[in-house]
Amino acid sequence: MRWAVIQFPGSNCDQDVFHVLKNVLKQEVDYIWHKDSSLKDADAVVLPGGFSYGDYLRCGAIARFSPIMPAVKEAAAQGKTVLGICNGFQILCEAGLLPGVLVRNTSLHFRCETIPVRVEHPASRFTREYMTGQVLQLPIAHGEGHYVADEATLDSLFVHKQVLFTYSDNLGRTTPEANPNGSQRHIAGITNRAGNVLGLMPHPERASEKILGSDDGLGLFTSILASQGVSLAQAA
Amino acid sequence: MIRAQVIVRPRASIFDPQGDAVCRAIQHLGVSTVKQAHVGKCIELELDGNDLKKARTQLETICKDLLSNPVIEDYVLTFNGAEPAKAKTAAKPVVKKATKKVVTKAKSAKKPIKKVSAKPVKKTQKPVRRAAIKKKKR
Repeated sequence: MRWAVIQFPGSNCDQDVFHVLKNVLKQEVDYIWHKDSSLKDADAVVLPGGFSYGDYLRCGAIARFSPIMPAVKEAAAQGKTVLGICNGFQILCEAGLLPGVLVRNTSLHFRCETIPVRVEHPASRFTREYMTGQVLQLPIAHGEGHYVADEATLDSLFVHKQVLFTYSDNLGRTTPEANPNGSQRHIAGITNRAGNVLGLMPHPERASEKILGSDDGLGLFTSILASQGVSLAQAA
Repeated sequence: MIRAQVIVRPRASIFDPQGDAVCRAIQHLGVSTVKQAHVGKCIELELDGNDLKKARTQLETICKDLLSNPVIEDYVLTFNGAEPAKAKTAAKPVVKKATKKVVTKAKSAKKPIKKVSAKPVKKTQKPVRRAAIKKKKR
């Protein structure tokens, strides 16, 4: 499987994603500079975390107009896998590939820690290696992760099983204390209606090797591989 | 040169933690009368040309697509320092004053007089009006 990792000015998780895909999962990966206009026939696109364009104006607002974005939108329209992590999630929302928007954490604090995240639906290309209600330990590192959308959109997201990840406590309970940023309905990660575009605030690429504390995030990448018929044995 | 100002504000329905923090800080200063604060941003733009109508259409698009996110924000677009337009309106009276005084003194004096009376009396506008008002009162 061929992956494209987009590099915006200010991206800082691009190398982490590249490392996991290349060295842990033995995938073909290309860095794609934001000024390029082609994804080089990639089967999947990752918009990594960071602070693209210094988060000026709003997070992701300027990256949305990068020359590579039409190609990302086209890939999404073709049903290819598009994964936005942290700032990547913010960019996907600003670009209109996902509904809603991410605003300043209610606490106003930048939260950088490993927290429990609950898997809502395993019947997606991003979560098929997980179980319903499984609680993952995933790192977060953001100041603007508070997901906001109108009530109708929120209802629709749950009805159509687009909410894949929510913030919970270690027992899987979505309590206010377990919500690190005030996100509406504890939303941590959502897909588009078609289910091929995922945006999430936690960093699965930072939890993909046991030696780094947790490999709970690796399942997200192996789920994508499995959904494309790539087994880990093949990949390795 | 056209100058425009865009004020972007968080929507009333969206919780504004920055505004909340600012409001609390104000209260810590001892000013308890401030009950609410909202933090937005002000973007100032300078455009080439002098077509205000065209500029407005372009800027409305920019406001909707880039400067604000309609899910969480409202914006107000205002124009200021529209120099070409001001320059035009400012230039006309200057020319008129000059012509009144020097070149077309007789013509400018005739017009108000015709309205009041048929007599060709050389008077300035103000005394004529006063006279007219006095006549009506009488």
